[in-house]
Amino acid sequence: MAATYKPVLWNRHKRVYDVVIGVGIALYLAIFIAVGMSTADSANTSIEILAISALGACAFFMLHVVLAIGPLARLSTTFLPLLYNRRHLGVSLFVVAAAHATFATVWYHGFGVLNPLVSLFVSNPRYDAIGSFPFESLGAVALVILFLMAATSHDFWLNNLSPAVWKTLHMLVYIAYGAVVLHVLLGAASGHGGSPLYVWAVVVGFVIIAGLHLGAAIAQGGRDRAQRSAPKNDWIDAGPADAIPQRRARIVIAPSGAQIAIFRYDGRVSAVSNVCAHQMGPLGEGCIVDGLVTCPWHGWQYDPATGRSPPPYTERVETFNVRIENGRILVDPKPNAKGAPATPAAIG
Amino acid sequence: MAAKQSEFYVGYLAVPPRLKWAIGALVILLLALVAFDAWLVATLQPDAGDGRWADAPTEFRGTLDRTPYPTLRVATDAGTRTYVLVSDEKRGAEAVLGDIPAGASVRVQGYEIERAAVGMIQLAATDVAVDNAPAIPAAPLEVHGRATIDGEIVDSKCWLGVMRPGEGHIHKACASLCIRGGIPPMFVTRTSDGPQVMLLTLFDGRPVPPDAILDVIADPVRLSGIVEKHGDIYHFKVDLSTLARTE
Repeated sequence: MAATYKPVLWNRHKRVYDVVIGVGIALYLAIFIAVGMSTADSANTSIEILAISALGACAFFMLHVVLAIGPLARLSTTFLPLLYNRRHLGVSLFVVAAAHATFATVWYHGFGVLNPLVSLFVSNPRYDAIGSFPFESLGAVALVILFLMAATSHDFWLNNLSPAVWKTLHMLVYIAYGAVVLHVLLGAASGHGGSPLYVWAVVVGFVIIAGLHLGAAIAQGGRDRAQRSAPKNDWIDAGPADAIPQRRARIVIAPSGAQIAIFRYDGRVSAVSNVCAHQMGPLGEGCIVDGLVTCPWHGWQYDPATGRSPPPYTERVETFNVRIENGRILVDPKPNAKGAPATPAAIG
Repeated sequence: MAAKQSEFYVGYLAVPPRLKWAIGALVILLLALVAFDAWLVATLQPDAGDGRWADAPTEFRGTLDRTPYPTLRVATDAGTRTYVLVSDEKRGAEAVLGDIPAGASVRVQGYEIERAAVGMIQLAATDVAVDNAPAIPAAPLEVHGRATIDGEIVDSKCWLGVMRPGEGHIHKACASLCIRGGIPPMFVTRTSDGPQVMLLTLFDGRPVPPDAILDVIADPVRLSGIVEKHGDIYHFKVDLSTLARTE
């Protein structure tokens, strides 16, 4: 959360996260180049080409990690610390990918009779072939998407584009992933000189990413079914109040599809939208910290009774009216305006 | 069932004790995956060949030839050595040699490039000194006859040692750019004794126009023509109408 825009709001976790990213990248490049230079077939490889390969492989690995964090965090809260600073991993991924692209463009397309950026797209004209397809163009598509994502990763863009537009833009990462998979399959893994094991390595990576997303979708589907409630006299029966753990929430889904997070705290219950104003994180999977609803993704906070972030912050989410009858929580599925106070219902 | 607030992770607060161990284990697992993936992909790198590109220039004295591509005949202890001449970057030597006629004795500074017993000189400077040394006669021509051969059209400079590896699909665009720039094309074929490489010319011995082969550079192809040996270097004089991809 930020009342003003700063490049990075540093804290200890972000520093440690970034150190691990830096160590991971350095480790990857060092091992890759050392092994490449000591393996019989590739020992005579130009150091420039080895560096290009190492950067490309490192970026591809990082893309898998970036894509795995989301579903992992949906499957287990243990992975939430990886999600917290994922944008730094994404920006680092772009930097490594851009280094790969720059060196490859200079080395393979520079020093010639054509502009390197023109050569990138025309030196191999076989856009009509599969095996000989100019794989470089697919890498360029992915790099443009990664650039857009890195350039708009700051909350300034999140607020100005709106969370929905921002989220849609960042979902382009799956297009980038597809382009990169083809870039590798039609490039390093293609034709003579390419190892068939490359293909298997890419397939294993795809199966892991697809499997995690499928698993997270199935788990979320199960949660959604359990949370879907039928209205009772226009109000939703959200179950017994004392079944909600202290300072935690139960999520219910209204017939309209609206997700409502009902928090229990200090002998009361309050209901707010389950969708965080920041990156649409699941507020109901969060916790009450210092009397405030706290998002599990990035720690954005809201007063449970008003849906407003504490001053000086200005974010707001919708609130819902609640009451308790015979120990059971009833929620009005019609949302109040964002930041509109809703009286908490006392338990017992 | 009751969750403890102390287990809830918030990025800007102290990490809950239970999560500290989990995060530590995750980081170690992730770094182990980093090391494994880097090792695995590094071992999958293609054969780089045994090409060589000298770090420093040396002086070469010999007799210039201009057809089909610029070459320099140099007298060595083992006999006459033919070096293909190229310029720096991705350019042939024609512009540097200007109007120096074939048969002239010249001194050049250049970086030696070598692979598969074929030598090349990348000219280090634009001034080529003409001197009065006696000309080194051309080696006798051996005609090895007609042949249909499977192989790959490469740019000679990269394949001989500047790019390692300098062949295959990944290098296709670079090879195309080099040949556009006047680097002589070569034809490489794989044998049980290793790669065999020949200068590629038209059937009548003239240089191959780049536009005629740009589409198939670095692709597996089949070509028919006549194989000749000019001193220590092979020429493959091809009929381009027979050019066909084999994959």
